[in-house]
Amino acid sequence: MTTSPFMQQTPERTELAGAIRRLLDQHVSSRSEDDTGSADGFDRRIWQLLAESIGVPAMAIPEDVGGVGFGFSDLLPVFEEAGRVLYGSPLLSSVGLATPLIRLAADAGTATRLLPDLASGASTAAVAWLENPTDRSSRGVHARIAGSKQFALSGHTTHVIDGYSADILLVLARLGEQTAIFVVEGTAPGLLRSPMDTIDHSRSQASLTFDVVPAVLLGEAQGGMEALGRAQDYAALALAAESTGAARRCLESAVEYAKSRRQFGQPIGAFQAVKHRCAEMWASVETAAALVGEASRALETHGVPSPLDTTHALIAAVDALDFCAQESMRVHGGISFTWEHSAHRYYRRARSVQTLLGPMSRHRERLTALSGIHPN
Amino acid sequence: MIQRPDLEDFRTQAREFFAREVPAVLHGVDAPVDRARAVRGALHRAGFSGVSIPEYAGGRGLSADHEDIVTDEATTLAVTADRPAFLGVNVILPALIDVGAAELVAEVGPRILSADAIACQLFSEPDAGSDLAGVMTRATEVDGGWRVQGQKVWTSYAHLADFGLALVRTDPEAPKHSGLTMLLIDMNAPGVTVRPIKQMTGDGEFNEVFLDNVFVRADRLVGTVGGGWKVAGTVLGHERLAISRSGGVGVRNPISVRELVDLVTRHDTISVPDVQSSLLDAWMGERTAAILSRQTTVQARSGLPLGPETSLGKMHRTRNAFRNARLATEFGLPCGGAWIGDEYAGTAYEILNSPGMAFGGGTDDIQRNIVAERILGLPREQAVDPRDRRTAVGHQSSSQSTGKAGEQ
Repeated sequence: MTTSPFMQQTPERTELAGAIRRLLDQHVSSRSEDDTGSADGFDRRIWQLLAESIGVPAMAIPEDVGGVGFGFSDLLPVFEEAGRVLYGSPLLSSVGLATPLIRLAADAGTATRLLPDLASGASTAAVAWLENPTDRSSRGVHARIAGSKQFALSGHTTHVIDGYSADILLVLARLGEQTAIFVVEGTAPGLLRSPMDTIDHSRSQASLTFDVVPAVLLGEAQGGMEALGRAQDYAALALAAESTGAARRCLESAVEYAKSRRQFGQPIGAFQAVKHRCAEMWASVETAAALVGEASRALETHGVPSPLDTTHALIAAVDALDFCAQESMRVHGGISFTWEHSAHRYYRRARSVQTLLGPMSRHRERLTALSGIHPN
Repeated sequence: MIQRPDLEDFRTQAREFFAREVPAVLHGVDAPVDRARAVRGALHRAGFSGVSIPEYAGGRGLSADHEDIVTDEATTLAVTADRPAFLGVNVILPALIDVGAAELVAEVGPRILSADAIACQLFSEPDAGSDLAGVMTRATEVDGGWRVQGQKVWTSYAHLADFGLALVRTDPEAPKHSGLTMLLIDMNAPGVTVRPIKQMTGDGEFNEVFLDNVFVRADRLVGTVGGGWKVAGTVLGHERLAISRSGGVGVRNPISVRELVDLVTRHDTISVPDVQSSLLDAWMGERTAAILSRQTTVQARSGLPLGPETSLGKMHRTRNAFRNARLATEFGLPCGGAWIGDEYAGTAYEILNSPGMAFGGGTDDIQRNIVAERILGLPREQAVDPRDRRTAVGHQSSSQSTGKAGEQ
């Protein structure tokens, strides 16, 4: 295992990361077959272990609603470890996106109703925030008033991360001229959920069809979109940490192979062509780690994610995973193109995270504006 | 930037000094060595030279925070003029202090801190570049000291220098890394010949140095006989720290994003999407290098040794240098890089100066070796040099030839 001189973690977080790693190493399979094993897309036993033995989903939830009351930064080592083994789970969707969204947008009653079960791991939540931009027939999801504080949702949405398994769905829907966020039970009548085909088998996405599905508003109708934007910054930081972890595992795997594989009478890692490839992988991983660390400190300082720090961290981490996934395949050679080898799982993850929270071109556009290099 | 109320007076004084004193003492002074002496002498008299260097060495004995304030407040005018003194003040003297050469430090410290003496670093040789431990310059023990014979190269400011910290071979029979010793050579002694090397910019900052039977007094030994490699490591550690601390100034730097934005603004091309995309890459590269350098400084400040991971900042700086030079050409130079008058000469100079960053402190390929062997634990390439094989039993590694400080 390589150390990260640029993360500068506290002893508590290092200890947490160690505990997560032991648990995941023990229970998470690296076999390709196991990715697609269950319709849920994740192993609920491991999720329960993470919730009960370590309290992961409770960490960034306040104590008065059943949480532990740590900061979101304390979760980043967890995301990094989960990314390392490509642990498919509601970690990103529920802990990284839905929970911050509830905390930002929900009224007190809804927060008190939803957060304790999320904290204990008894339920998970997913956010349906996107209409399929390539599907022109999709008219999205519409809400109409169905009674006092009651609404009914109809329509179609796609790409809901862990939307098939989530107990609670937070759904972006049009309400007259507004776009608001609604809470829908996973078991609600009229809701049809189907898993989508995905390039990344270690993370499940679903399409949702609503046929007059009962729903309530998450909070005020008008603040929903703004809260969603801010919640996505939390998710972006989580995804950056997760991708850094996945990239680091690619590096480690390449280095292990370069030490053990012998050709021309010596380990291939002795050849500069190979060792320099590994050194560049290390550089990309540590760069991402340094920027995630910087964004993490900015979050601690300001209490909310800094869009500039977070966007830069996400771009660097997605780049690092892209680079390390392909370079690791190059170090491994032909074996990495087989189904049995884990390399393609990281390559698949790399392809997926490029667009998971919107295409990187949009994040780069946003950072261009935030950086101030473009005066407009 | 450090902000501490108790230091604000000090900051104000420093700011005043750089705003008023420096332009005054440099007025009408042309020769580089005179400018260095003028500005460094003024710094010394005002108490801003060697701020965190102990008093016995001629410094002020103040905190690292004080030192940072002077670095923060230093103007480009002062930094540029001070360049010949930079290495002595920030790298060589601190290394001598670390090594414990107390008497030598007491003698040369005040001279270095006032630029009464300029110091240079005699490390690389024509046949010992990346493989620094292969230096062949011989020092033979004689009555009262040593006689030194050999040739050094890439020595910054040797033509102005009074002292040269020289890595020499005292025991040709010993394993490669343990036959080395560090000596402080008097650059004005008989037998020292300095020949300038014209750089691709047209400047002459580097030199070849020929050492022909040069006598070095016994009390000029730095560290122990046979301990030269260890001293070289100390020097390189101070170099990394000095570069990271100086941040945007003091050493050769990539063309800044601010300059690139100025060029784009002047030519009104900011609305071109590809221009924006390139600027963003440059901006991210510059920010990354700044964050890494700050973390390195924090680490060094907390007393942790600067390890091989400092190579990361160096790798980014090199990448930034080449990228930004390409972009400055794209954004700022006319068709085919030809112009009339002197409007573009400054930009062209910076473009041509940029590649120098790839070599000072060790080439990129050496950085990659360092990372791969010392951090990732990959095996060394099989040595073909028999002297390397002899040391393979120890824990020396080829990647410990980490490049040379005063050569950038």
